[in-house]
Amino acid sequence: MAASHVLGHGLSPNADYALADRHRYGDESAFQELYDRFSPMVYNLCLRLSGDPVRAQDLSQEVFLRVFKGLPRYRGGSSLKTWIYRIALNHCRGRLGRRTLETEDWSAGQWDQGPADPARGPEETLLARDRGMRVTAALLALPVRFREAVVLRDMDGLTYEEIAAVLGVRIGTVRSRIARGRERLRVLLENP
Amino acid sequence: MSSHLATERLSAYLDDELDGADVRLVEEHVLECSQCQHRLSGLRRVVDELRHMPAASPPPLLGRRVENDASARWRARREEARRGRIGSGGFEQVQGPIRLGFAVIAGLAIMAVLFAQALERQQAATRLVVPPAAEADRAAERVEAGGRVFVLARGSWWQEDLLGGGRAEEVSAAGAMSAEAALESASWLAPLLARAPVVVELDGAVVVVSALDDRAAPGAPRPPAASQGKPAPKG
Repeated sequence: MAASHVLGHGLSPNADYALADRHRYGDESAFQELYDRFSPMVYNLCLRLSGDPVRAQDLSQEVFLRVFKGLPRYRGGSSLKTWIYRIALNHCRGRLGRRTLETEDWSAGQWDQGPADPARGPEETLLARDRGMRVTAALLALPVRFREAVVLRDMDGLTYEEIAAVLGVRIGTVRSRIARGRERLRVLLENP
Repeated sequence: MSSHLATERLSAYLDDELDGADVRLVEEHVLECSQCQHRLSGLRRVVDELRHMPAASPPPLLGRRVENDASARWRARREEARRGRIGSGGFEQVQGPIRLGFAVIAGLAIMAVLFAQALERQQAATRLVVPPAAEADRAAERVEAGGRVFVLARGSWWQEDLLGGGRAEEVSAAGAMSAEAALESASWLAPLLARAPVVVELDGAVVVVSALDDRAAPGAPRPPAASQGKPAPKG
């Protein structure tokens, strides 16, 4: 299943605001709903940025604590998805630091590749896993600003406008970062 | 043939971010330019690979950890709300610094009241009406003690030379002293104090010494004098 289909959990702005409103007025089930909707998105973003499942879990927990505290102030100016992405991204940047994000040696074998596709034979599954590991290693070799843009666009399925809102940059900058990130990946994957 | 297409344009083409004219330009160009065609194919492969990367499932432990965090936060919020309700309209609602301010003001107010009461008691104890000298002539008793003459007038012993002029005179400057204190420096007052309060000059100051058996109004002459009866002319 495409990652963007797994992680895309946007609802209408009104539904997002209603969920935040329930949380604001003490409905404890609202936060649980929010976690169910956004935990794959947050966890995968933390995993892709940190490259470490243990650290990704810690980061995700901290992100949800921030979301819990900030949710009463959510006014629906952007979708919850964008709002939470922004929190998660800023948190990862602060906690991991630019140097860690740039240079951390990541082992692709740590990444949970998900359940094997039953339609594939064993050989095809191995090939797919190998290709996935190469793509992941190349992704982690990108400068952070390109990696963030490519992950948000091609893995999480955000629109250019949403990425601009999450990163706090202009759409032209988003277009440029995505293009440069993809181009570097292309060169890395064609010249292993 | 024109120059090669920019990567940004090829990338935007894959995302359907170009307008109609730009789309046609790209499609016509890659038909003729193998290098741009190769780059576009490469970029498309990258995008496909990324979009088909499996997403990891959040570990169940993460869910429990977040749930614990949320539960702790809800408990704290409920506790906060409960404290707010209990305190509503009461002193508990007032926060620390404000509460301290209230306490200081209340303390100062209590001290002011106590001070005013003490001052009033002292003024009452020391306010007396000095009988006119003529009363010495009518005094039932006249006693000598400590080298001075005392007359019994209006229920108190008066040092004779302290009596006033022709009329009764209110004096508020006299100090009050207990019998015990007075006897430490003037033991000769004992026979007088055994019967009534004494108005006497001690160490240059006029003081009213309460009687030894005077428990009802210590320090005050008994009775406080010339409020009753007309002052008699001197002589």
